[in-house]
Amino acid sequence: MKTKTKLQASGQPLSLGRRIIQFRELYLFLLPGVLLLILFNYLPLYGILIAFKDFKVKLGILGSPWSEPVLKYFNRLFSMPMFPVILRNTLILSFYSLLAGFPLPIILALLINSSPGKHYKKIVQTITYAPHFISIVIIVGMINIFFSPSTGIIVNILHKLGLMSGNLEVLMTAGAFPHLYVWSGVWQSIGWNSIIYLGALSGVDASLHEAAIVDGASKLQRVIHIDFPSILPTIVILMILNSGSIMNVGFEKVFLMQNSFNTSMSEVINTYVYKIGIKEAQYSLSAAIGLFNSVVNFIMIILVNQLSKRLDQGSLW
Amino acid sequence: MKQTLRRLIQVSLAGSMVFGALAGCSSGTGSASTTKAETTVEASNQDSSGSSQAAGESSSAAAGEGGLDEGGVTNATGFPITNEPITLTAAVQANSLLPDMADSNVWQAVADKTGITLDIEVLSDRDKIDLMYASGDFPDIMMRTDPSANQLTTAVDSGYFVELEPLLEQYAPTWYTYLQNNPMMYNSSLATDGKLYGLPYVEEDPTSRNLRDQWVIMQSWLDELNLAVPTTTEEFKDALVAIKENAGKGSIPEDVIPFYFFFDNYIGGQFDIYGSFGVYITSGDYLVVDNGVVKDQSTNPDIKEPLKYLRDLYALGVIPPEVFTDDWNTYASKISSDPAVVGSYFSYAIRQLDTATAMKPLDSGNGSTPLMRSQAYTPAPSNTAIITTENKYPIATTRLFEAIASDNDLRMEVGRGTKGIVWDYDDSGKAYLKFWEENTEKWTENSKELGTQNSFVGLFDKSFYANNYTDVYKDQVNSRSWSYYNVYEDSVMPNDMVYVGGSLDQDDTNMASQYATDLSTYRKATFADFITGKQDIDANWDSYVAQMKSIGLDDFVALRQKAYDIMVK
Repeated sequence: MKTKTKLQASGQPLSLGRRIIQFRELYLFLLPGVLLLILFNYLPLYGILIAFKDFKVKLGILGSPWSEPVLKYFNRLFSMPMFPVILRNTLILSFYSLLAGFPLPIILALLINSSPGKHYKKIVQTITYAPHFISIVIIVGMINIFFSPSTGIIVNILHKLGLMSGNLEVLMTAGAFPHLYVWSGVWQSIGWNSIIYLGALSGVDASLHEAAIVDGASKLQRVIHIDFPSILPTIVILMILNSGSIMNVGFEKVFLMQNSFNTSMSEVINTYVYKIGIKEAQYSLSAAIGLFNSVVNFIMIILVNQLSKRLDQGSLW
Repeated sequence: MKQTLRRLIQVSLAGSMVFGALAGCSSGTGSASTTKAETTVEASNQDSSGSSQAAGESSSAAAGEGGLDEGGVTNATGFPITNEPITLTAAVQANSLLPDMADSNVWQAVADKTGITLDIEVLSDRDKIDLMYASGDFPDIMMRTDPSANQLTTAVDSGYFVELEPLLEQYAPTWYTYLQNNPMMYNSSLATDGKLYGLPYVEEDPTSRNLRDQWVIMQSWLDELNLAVPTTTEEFKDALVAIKENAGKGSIPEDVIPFYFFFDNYIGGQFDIYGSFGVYITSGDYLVVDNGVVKDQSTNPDIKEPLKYLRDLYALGVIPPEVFTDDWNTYASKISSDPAVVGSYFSYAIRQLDTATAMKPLDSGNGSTPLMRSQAYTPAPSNTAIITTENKYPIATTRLFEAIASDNDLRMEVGRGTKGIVWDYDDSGKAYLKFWEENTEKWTENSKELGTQNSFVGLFDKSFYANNYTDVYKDQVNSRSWSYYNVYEDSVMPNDMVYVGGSLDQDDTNMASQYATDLSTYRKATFADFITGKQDIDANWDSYVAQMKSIGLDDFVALRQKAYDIMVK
């Protein structure tokens, strides 16, 4: 204890080793987390080797021979005639999902937070959360029943109202696929995703609002100048984290929504790999594609983080 | 003192957190011990397979002495196969038609006769099967699990499966002779290393193999409309239009679907329309075999004619747009509806036995012979019985496979079901079925008496159907047998036109799979556009063909030719 006081008093920075010894109890608390990270996130990284090897289960990861050339599976991926199409489709779906799906929960949270009616608030929250608990299979089933070209609910309503005749072409038009995919996703997740922002909003100091009211600020002005800036750090962090999963378009939903008409827009990396690779137990190819996705995600997360830093909006590191 | 105590508490707290956090790893420790145990098992298995091999080698001597094998348990000849009861574990993929496969009463009959009890695990989803192949955690016998070529290769490379041919030669003469005499069955059962690890389920019932789907039309509706069963494409078009115009009248429902199929799927798809126009296709990849040469039909200009015919039907509103968007379950439920909602469809069996009928392929008037698709005499499916290196009784197991093929009682018990309930012998001593799949009520009622059908090894070859079986369904109107002999027999594609493919090596398999996916995706989208009129067929034909070529059509056909040659060599 005496040493600590002496060193701190002298203003010298402590070396890491000394710091660990000195604050060993605190570092001990850190140990479980670090161990878990090493065990489950760093040690398995050596499995990436599969992407560069002709993996054989019997020989194991280290024992399998290197593929010739080493980048054989990457070459195969990039030389697939469909690769540009599936990459484009993947990026369209993920960026569109991010653009449409990211701001709306924030707006919903701000609206719910500013609403004076407690009961009304609760009802809106429950209704918007509910779709989150419906499984993807059911959601896709609902989409098909609602938008079915000649027998669907929507086409029947439009026919009854005299607004349309003939078939509803939504499911039969490739261009409509991204909209259907993204907006059904927004509908399903908007309520659930707004929870974290509502949590952040509940922490906003009430005195700020009181002071603003005294100064004559309108409701909208308070949302813009108090609520929004308060949750901005949360928004930025979530934005950075979301950009790190840009290549991970949900496989099940896309796969289930595919039909003969929309594959030109709906074939994404995950569904394509499933069709040509996973079912055929092509571990090396799957690992190569997984690694490619991770590298793109990694680059994205660094770019967005740097951008956010530049704009002085906070960052992950 | 207080401080020391506090420190002690802190350290023990942190320690407990570390252990707590690593608690998840306890299974890791467990798995370490499991691995150890597995290694021991594997070692002992290697021993046992080694010893079984040794036993195999010495078995003739043992058999010669009228002695026993495999630890003195397995008898060399006759029943029971083992002189004391043994239990073998087995795994099979679930079959929705056979919900009680694991605890069917037929296994008791098998145990009584052979001394071998099968402890069967039914694998309800594909992931479980894939996991089994990935982990190598196999039971004694793999029944039908439909492994992919790569899965089989990986398991064989890893030494998980026992090579069967030497065992068959010695202990299963019926199988050995059959495979020797039927090269197509033999070739399509081989793994990529050219060796045999699994026995097929052989089904050579002519009514089953010589026809793929029946073309079903609602006879009762035609009667109400005073129309005969169509024989030409024009008559068919008129009948569909009449059905549509009379929706809601008589027994035709308001929401009738005049013509329905599962677009571009080989089962239930629109392929017999192509066959009516003389464009013969015998594989889902639009291939046909012409004098031993594999040809692509998706870019054959002759296919434009049937596509235009389908476009006309779509424009007349007798094909609903849902044929392109429905999934398999929706399709199956629509065609199975009784009373019917669909006027005409393609199906293995007629779903409305009392009101529908089978229709011949239609004459298009273009001078070609209208033909229906048939199926090749290939395994249905292969690899339905694999002995793994876990199995301590490979000889007894081989003898069981032989018994199921050579002993008529066992063949029928295992393949069809309990004697006296599912089947029996007639006065001439031939087996006949008392009810079958089409009789859904009895099928469900007796689900515990059913055999494994094609989920386990079976030998229902041509000689069985010629000498040991009476087809009582031949005279039952609208059964598949009846349809075949009364409607289709003269208008099915000859068997040598049917595309069949053997196992290619891993790289070729991967490339073929990639080409097949790309080509089918593009073809499906384009044909859907052609039929719905979104693209003009004549104007866009050349660009469609060019695109198919650029995706790799020629390379794909060459790979399929290679696979075909392996099969028929």
